[in-house]
Amino acid sequence: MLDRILLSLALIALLFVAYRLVQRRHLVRLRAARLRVGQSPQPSLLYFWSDHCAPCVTQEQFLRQLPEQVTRQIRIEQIDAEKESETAARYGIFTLPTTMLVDRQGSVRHVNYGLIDARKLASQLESVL
Amino acid sequence: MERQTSERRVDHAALKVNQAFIITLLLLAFVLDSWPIAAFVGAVMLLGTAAPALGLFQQVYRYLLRPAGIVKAQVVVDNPEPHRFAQGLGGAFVALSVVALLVGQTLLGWILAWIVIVLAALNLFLGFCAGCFVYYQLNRLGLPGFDRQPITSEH
Repeated sequence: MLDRILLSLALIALLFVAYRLVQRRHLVRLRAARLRVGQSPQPSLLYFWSDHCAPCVTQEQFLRQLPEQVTRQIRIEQIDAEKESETAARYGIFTLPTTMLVDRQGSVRHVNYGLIDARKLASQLESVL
Repeated sequence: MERQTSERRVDHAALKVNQAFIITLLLLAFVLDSWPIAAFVGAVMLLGTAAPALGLFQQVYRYLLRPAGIVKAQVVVDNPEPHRFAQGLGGAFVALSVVALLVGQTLLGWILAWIVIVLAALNLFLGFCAGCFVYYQLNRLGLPGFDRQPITSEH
């Protein structure tokens, strides 16, 4: 049994590390690229979606649930990844929905693959405000 | 922003509780090398697919966790059919896993169980439902029985 416990923990750790590495590599590339967001007086939330993305409607609902005191201080930009495929490719989008939080200096601070609820998103936004 | 909304709603908290039970029990089954636990999980998944009201894990959420305030409801506009299909697909994988274990194909059996664990974890932690993705692809292909399209919104 101990060997199975260790194997399970090793597999879980491996998957977690792989995910974090992909996320970190993505962030490093984005920061190096200094993409179109540039500098803004406000932090930005980039939301990549498409009509064929089934969870995207749910993500939009989560975006609408963000506290007003947070949304007043940020710029939310919605990017249709199918219609603006070049933009999506420049940002390295490989799954939808994807949300990115950009600070005032234009640096991408957080990238979320898949659904992220309003509470977690608000917490990330607090860190870039 | 104008939104085209639908009245179709799904409690995503119930789905997450379901996924958490599946992951936990399948991991337990693997650690204990117990095909009966895996078979139990598969049976619950398949029964919950055939008759959603009978889904045991969702009943635990509905009658225990939510009233106790341990988990809060997260009702969003969504189609229930793809999630039901995803559960059925997962249940089929677990059933195949159990069959493999029973005929002595231990490695194959546990690989199948781990596929379900990983995909359930993807859903639970990243909100990516692989089974829902398959459902909507089959919808795009026009297969009968996969009638629900993704709910869209107007931007």
